[in-house]
Amino acid sequence: MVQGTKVRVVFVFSCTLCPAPCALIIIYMKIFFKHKLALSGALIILLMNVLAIFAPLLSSTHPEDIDVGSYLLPPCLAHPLGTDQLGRDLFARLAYGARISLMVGFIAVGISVSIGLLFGALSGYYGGAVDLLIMRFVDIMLCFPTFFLILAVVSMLESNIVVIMAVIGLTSWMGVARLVRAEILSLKQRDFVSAAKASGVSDCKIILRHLVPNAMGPVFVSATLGIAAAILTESSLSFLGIGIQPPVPSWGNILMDAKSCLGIAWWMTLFPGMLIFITVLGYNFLGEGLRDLLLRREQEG
Amino acid sequence: MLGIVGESGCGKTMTGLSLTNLLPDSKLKIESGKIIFAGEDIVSLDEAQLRALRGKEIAYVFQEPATALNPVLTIGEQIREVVKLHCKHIPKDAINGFIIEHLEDVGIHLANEKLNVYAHQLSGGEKQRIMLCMAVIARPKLLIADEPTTAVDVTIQSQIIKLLHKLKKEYGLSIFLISHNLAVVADLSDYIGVMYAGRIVEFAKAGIVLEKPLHPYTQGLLNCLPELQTGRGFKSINGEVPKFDNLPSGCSFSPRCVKAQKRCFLKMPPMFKTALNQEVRCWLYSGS
Repeated sequence: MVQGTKVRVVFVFSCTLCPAPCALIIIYMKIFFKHKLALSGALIILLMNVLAIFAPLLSSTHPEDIDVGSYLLPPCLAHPLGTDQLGRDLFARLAYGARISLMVGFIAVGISVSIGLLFGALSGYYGGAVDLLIMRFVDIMLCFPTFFLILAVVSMLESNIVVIMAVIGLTSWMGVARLVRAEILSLKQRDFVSAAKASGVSDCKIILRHLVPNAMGPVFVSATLGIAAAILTESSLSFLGIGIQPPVPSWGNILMDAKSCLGIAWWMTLFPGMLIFITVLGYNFLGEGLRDLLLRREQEG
Repeated sequence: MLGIVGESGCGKTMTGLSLTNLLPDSKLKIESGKIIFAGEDIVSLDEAQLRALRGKEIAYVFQEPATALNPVLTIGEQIREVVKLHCKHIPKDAINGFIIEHLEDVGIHLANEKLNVYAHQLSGGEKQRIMLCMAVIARPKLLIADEPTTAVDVTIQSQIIKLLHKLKKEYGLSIFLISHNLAVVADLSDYIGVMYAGRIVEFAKAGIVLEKPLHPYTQGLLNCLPELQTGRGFKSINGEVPKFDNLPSGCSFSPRCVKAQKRCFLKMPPMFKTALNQEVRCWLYSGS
């Protein structure tokens, strides 16, 4: 799963540029590499993924191993980021926590993008009553204060990682749906859609083969930014104690553990806080970079 | 082969689109009348029957080849879509060969390489040839060509016209050619229909219309062509095509017509038939 995240980064690159042949991809790559913000974002994400994938190799102990003798140790050689109140190695917990946090971000956005694409495409393509119905549903969904909706749902259901991912995904698809609808509204006026219709292609195939692939650029931008938001939401939920349940580590619940010894163990809040901050920043940078790239492509094309 | 001419906004494209019930807006509908194709009324067909008809029996070529190809699919993928839909007798492993054969038929060089390229890598002429290939590959009976030469330059224009000639002969196509270029229509058509404000105002064999145009509008259109020999420059018809929600009473051409009489402003003339089997919608010929 975490490996998927890494593949995804490359996938985002090649898919935003997908209509371009090799020569153009190289040109866009050059632009991308000149774009300092996007590049640093991509590097941060790459680094986090490496941390997550190689967590067992990088850390000397298991994140759930309790060693009461060495509790609340400040950063030292044996424990580079210190230990918590149960003597668990903070670095190991953060590295394993990266797996959970990144996976939640990635899969939650996967869910929200799929739903958004489906509703957005139907709404944009058919228009009329279908459009009205779906868009009003979107409006209603947007009226809920999302975070409290998630809180309510999670506290009713048994809290596990699947529920967290599903709930975050199910409450964040509205933006994508609006985006896709707008794209499809303009794309369906294009001649190649009429041409496909005139050669007898069915509505379903027109949407899937002709419209959706052309609308993917902005969707990738919003998905990248969405991952950042999803990671934040998961951290907040875990911080409040209704997200990922201990002893499984996630960045949010490590922070929750740190809360009780804020005054005496600075390392326990600083490092998970920084990790969340940097990762979210990385995804936001990459998202902004992709948006610039897309804008440039549209201006040129 | 039937050619339809008229100015922009005369309803030529709408006529073409309604032939396969493809009107662009869901608010636009065919209100009345029948469109008979091979003994069947197209207006009465449902969506599934229409889909089976589109591409298989009636194919369409659009004006702008640059936008009529999907930018994110290769040429091969797009043609394959049509083949899979309408040429079910072709076995899967023979599809590529089948496509290459047809691409060569429409004059694409290095056809097997062109299968894997995207639309923006091709020239305008090549794109229009590929559109034609996609249109005729399922051997339709009727090809609707909506200004197929308008977006390409003059040398390509003549090549496309030659190609249409060839396809018509080899594939036994009927062609419904829409154009505002009288020269193109004159070159290709057996019959010419002149359209004004949504109505056919003159209809006859191509030669007759060009030599002896009867309707003042047709005469005006022919006058617009510059003639090299006589050195006569461009002439134009004053005014512009009326909007469809604001048609003048009487003959819709009357406000611009140089020969307009009193009754032209009062009542829309019917089609009059002349001795040469020429049909014309103008009061001037009410006696004949």
